[in-house]
Amino acid sequence: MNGAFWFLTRHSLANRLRRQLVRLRSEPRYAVALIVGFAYLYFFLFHRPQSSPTGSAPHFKELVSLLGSLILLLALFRWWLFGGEQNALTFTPAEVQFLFPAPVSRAALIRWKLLRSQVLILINTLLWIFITRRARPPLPFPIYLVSLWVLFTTLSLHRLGAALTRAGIRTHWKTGLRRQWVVIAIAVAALVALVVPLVSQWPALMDRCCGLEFWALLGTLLNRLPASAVLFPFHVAMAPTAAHDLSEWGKALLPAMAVLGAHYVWVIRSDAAFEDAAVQASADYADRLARRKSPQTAYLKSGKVARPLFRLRPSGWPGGAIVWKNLVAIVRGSISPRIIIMILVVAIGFAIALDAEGHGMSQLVGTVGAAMLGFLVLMGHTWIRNDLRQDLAYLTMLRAYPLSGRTIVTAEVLASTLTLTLFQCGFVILAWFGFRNRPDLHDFLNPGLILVGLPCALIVVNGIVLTLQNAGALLFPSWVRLERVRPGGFETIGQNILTTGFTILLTLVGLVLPAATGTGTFLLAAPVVGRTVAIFPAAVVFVAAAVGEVMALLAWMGQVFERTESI
Amino acid sequence: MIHVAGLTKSYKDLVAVRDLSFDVAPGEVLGLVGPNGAGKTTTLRCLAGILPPTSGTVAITGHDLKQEPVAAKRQLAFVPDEPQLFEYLTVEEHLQFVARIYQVSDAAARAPALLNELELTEHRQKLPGELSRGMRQKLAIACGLLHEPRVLLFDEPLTGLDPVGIRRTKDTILRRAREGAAVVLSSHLLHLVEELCTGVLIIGRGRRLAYGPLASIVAERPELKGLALEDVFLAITSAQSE
Repeated sequence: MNGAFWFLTRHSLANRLRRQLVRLRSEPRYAVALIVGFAYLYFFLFHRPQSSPTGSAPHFKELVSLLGSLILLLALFRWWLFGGEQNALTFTPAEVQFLFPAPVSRAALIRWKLLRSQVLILINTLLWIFITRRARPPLPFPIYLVSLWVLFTTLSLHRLGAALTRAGIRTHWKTGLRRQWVVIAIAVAALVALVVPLVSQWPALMDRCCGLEFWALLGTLLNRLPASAVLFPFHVAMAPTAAHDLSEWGKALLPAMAVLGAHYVWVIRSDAAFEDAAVQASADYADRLARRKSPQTAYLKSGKVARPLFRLRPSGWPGGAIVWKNLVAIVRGSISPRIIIMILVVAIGFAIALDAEGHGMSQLVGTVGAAMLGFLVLMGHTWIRNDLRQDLAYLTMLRAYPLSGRTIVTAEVLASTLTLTLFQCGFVILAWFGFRNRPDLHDFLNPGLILVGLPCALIVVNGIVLTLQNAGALLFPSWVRLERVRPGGFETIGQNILTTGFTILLTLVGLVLPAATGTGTFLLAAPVVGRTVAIFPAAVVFVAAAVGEVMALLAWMGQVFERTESI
Repeated sequence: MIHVAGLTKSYKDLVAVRDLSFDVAPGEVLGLVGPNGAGKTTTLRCLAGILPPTSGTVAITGHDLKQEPVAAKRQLAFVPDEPQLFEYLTVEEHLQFVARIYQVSDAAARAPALLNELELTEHRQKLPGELSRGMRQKLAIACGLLHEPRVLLFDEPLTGLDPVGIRRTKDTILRRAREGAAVVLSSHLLHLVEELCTGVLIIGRGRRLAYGPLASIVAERPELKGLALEDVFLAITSAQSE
């Protein structure tokens, strides 16, 4: 079995590398993107500024250790309560076809799974070593490598063990429960031990939300028994990575290895009938893979069809059908929920970091709104992609429709522009709500600017950015990530950097004329009608100039679309 | 109804379709047959206005596809071999979408009969991902028929259909032809072509090898007398490869 595994791994890797080399040789633009991708990683990994001394501050270390343990604990709860089978028990369709009917034991299948996970663990370990090399303790490279490997392998084993246990319980409901009662009892007890002290101190925690005092109190509560006992295994698993010298590391490694060994024995001796769960997880995985290859379906769930925002009438501008279709796709979840959660987490983290002294919930809400708005202005075009970047996969159909190229292109850009602007306006309102009582922002928060000026500016900027992104997709499909074309590797990073860089540059150029005419109008009108009222004609002129530019670009793109035969 | 003159389509050094000419009158069903890589799909895509011809003209109901693409496309429907459906629109919403694109004002009245004809009524609230391959094919056909096109282009229309579906789809195609539509269908199922088509266009390596009613093709080649289309096809295409 091990021989078969190494054969498959070696040959898959070699074939993948060979294919990428052939592509680089046949299409030099991938080579350019690859160089940019490598350059980015080089500067990101090797040329980052020295970290601040807070990295070694004692309270900082404790906070990191506490947060790390809590994050691990949350991950564990997720695996136990909501299942981690999707990844832990997933075999590729080819593995299911070749290995499951093969004359091999369940233990051999699990060993195969463990070996395969080692490839990913080793890559992750190396990445983490590079990413954290400035902040990590001054231990030699191999020592830190072993520490991280122990931590990641323990986590991987735990996830697999949890998945096997859940699969066993699902397959043999009562028998499974009886066999796994110890594990279940431990999980329930751990949950109670952690939640009870937090619930009892909930008002005190909320009073301190979300400055340093909050984290200090949280640390105090979780460092008391019985919560500290629950977190002890996590501290043990993380201890070698936090060790500051070899002697401390030596003392920390032994218990961590013991935890790892116990996990290995638990997983290997698990006799759960996991095949059904594994086949289901693998089928789900294959389905997800197929959906990702299919445009706009990555996050679509069968049987949960949300109603469209409005009913499409058969008469009216034919391009309205494309706008409607793309809006339906958004309503039905073509946007990754994970990305939404990730953006929210980053925004909240950003807000907490800015609000470390604890200005209260209102400031927090305002900062989250502003952070989200800023993120969406800069990077929203990479998130909202319900336009040609997805629909070029349907080129055959689009070209068969009795619509001009200009109509199709305009409708495609309009859909994502409206969606992105709508999201941004939501965060404008959130930011305004949070900051409405700030006297220092009084001038900036005047209703004319918030209700008219900002939405106009946003729709114009989004229109230009998304038109440029769509033009890029049409002219250089290999450079823009189309849904059915998902090249991996460093060249993808390079492509993203190049396309985003060019888009920002061209957007700035495109905004020169509208900004100049808008500002001129404002300066002329302000002395006559006042600053607040002057925003209206200035906004109209600004929007008119930008719309004129975009319309000219769309007309040209329509001609390009009509000449495009294949992607 | 369909007029093709000197149609040529090249990709760099490859000539996929070479100087193809034919006509399809209202009520006629032309079978487009040929070996793999003969240029059938390219020909159909040129007729549908998806690929611009390198040279030659294609006219749909008198509208030149190059000069008046929108007017010409309004009169035709193209059903590809692999149904391309929007995975986030239900069956019913696909018809609403097509109705707006083709400006079918009475779509609400037409849709139920069409769904019934293609056995899609009970699936009208489903997403394409919940449909079988055959049902997806039927939905693609329904979308093509909603605006009552005068020209129908089918690329392997019966792929993935069960026997009942094949029968229903054949009836659907024949009914449209009887109502005056000009139909072109490409298929490897030669018995189907023989059963449905009033004429045949056999192409190989992009060239026209034979064209016309099967009887007249055989009449031009006395050695093929009495043979079925399958044998005629093999004789003509193997002669070209030699």
